[in-house]
Amino acid sequence: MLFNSFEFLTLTIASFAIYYLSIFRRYQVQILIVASLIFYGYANPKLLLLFLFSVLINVISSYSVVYGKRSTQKTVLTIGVIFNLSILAFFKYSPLIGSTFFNAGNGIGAFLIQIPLPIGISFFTFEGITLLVDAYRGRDEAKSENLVIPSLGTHAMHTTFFVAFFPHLIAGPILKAHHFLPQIKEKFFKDIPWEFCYRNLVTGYFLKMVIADQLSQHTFWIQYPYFEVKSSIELIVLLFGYSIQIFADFAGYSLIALGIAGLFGYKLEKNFDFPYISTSFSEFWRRWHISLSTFLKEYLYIPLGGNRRGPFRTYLNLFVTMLLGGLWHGAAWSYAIWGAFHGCALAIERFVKDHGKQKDKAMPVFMNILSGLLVFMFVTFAWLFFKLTNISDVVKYVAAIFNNTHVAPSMSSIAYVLMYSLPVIAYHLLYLSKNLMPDVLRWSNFEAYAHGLMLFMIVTNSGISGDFIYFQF
Amino acid sequence: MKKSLLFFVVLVVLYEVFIRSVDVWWTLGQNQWHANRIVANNFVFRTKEYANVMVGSSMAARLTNKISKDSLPADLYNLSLNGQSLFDGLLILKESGCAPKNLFIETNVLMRNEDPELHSAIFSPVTMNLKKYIKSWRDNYQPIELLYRIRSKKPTNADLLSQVEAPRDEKSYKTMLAVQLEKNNVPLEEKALKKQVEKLKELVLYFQKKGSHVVLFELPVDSSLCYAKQVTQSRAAIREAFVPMKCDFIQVPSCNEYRTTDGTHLDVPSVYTYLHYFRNAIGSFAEPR
Repeated sequence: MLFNSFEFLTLTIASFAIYYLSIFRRYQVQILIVASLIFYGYANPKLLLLFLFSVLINVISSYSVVYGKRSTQKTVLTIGVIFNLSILAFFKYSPLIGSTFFNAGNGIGAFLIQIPLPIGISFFTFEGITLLVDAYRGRDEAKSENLVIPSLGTHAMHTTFFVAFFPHLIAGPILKAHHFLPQIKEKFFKDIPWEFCYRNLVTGYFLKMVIADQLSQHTFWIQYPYFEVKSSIELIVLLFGYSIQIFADFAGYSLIALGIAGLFGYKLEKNFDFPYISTSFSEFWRRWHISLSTFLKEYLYIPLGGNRRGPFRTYLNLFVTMLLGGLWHGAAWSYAIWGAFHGCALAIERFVKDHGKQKDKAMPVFMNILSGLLVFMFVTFAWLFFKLTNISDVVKYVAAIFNNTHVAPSMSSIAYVLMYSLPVIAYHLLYLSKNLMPDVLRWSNFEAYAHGLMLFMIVTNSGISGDFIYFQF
Repeated sequence: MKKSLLFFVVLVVLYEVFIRSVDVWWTLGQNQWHANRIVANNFVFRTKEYANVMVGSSMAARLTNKISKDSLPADLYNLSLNGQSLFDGLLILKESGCAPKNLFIETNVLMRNEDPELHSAIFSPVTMNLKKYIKSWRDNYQPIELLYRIRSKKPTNADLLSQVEAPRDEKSYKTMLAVQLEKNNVPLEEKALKKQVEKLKELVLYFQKKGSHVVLFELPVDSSLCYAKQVTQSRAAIREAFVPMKCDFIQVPSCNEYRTTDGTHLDVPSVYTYLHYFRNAIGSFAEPR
């Protein structure tokens, strides 16, 4: 169910209308669970079986981690985490294993290839892991009761709600149990943060429907064999456009999720913080897909040893974390390469920082700009591995950039990509210059008009609504 | 929030007034999907009925001439869509409740299925009803394109004829032709072909029951592709299924007489040649029956 579909609007409005009625206030959580299950199972109800099975295992194991025998708690935690990783591995990576390690006619290979990918599996399995780990870490503290309620029935209900809550269910943000579960309580209509919801919904739908959906109709041509006949300059502009598109698509989705959750009285964590102004790779990952970066940091990088085991292990941990983070995105080797690229960049940056002479000195402005451009160009080039999951196509695309200098570019296509990229660039530049602006030019003076204009563009200038890019992960 | 919503309403009203008072003739789509939506929107919100409708892929969507008298007949609406299938056009036609006297179906791209996203973009109950009354929300009037392509006066026939067509890029042509040859020489799976034919039969039968006269036609392609395995397989299956259903056919002319830009799409001079051929061929069908 797309966030901009008629079905979704109907479901959200109906749930919202019932949710705040005083006679149903006791059942708010149940109402949202039912709405979330309809949302998830709408296109393919069979998916609910795996989803509910996964929730059930996480309910039982998290409960046992807190209230089970002390001697078995760690074992239960380990089994629970392995279970989550196993279902993720089985459903997500079987086709990759089947196509990589088995011949075309092999029965096992054929079986692995045809295993379907349940939507949102990467998100709900990671949320299961955060519940188990957070419950284990806080099991001796009084606040653990906020995460795992002593009543098994209530805990089951809260856990189902935590994982299923429809704004974040299929493309994040990845919720942390310790952040979300304590928010579960009665909600009142008068407490709705209308301004917050309106701003996030309008900006989110604008980024998705006007920017990402329009750009996707141009970046469509980044696929073999079509790019072979495009000019060098067009190929570079299209790649730039894809970089803007993927931001608009995913940040747009996250903002919509924040806005909708806000309507129901829940605050989700911010997932994007102007990532394209980053002047270093580590800064980029503090600003891009924040919920994944913090998950990887808290639940993978730090348990691997983080930076506590010497420089070499630090570089290795950064690389391994990003490699696995890359594979989390999709079952293709190109995602692993994408992750490895970023892992190398982070490790090299760390090495330079550790061995640089000017460790603590602030960089001059022009160096900051240069670093920002370098990071942006690197990140943009790396998105090619996202768009073209066949690595030989990536090589062909890069070759075409160098070889197609003789081909006449389509000026209108270039112009449209640049025009639709402009709001995202402006969005970042406004943020960057927020402290430099005189009072009369402050964003807050124009914000209301900007949102009115965005709303106008949503109704008059949207592209064809397509799936959110992160739905496939 | 109130100020923002008020500003939105003001913009909507001003833009609607502008669109209703200016002849916006210059929009043609920012890309092929947008162009498709314009074509579909124009048909769904048509102000007159068309006796003849054509559906098909991007190959038939090219059947147009800069000079209207040399283009398709004025009472023929070309509902062929770029990058889409003939099923998209047929389903739009069906959903619009229209059964033309003559329905021309281009069958070159039989194996491509309909696109549900396009269909829901056009027929979503909320947006369709809004677009019915709020003209400025239709796809023809997207502000970005309207501003980008704005022109002060309509070009004359002389202006149009003086425009120089870009020459075919031979390297690109060879690259795309090689891809098409490789793809089209792999035989189609009989089961999949039969499924598509059955789907088309069902729709043809629907329009025949509504009184439409169905004419199937195939556009010429590059001579090296004209008898590729998939092309001949599909051609034979179509004849076998639709001759007994009393459909008419426009014979595909000799592919040697036509030039394509990429193996499948006719270049501009060849489009003009085919348009001449097509107009002659449909002469008898397009007469009021």
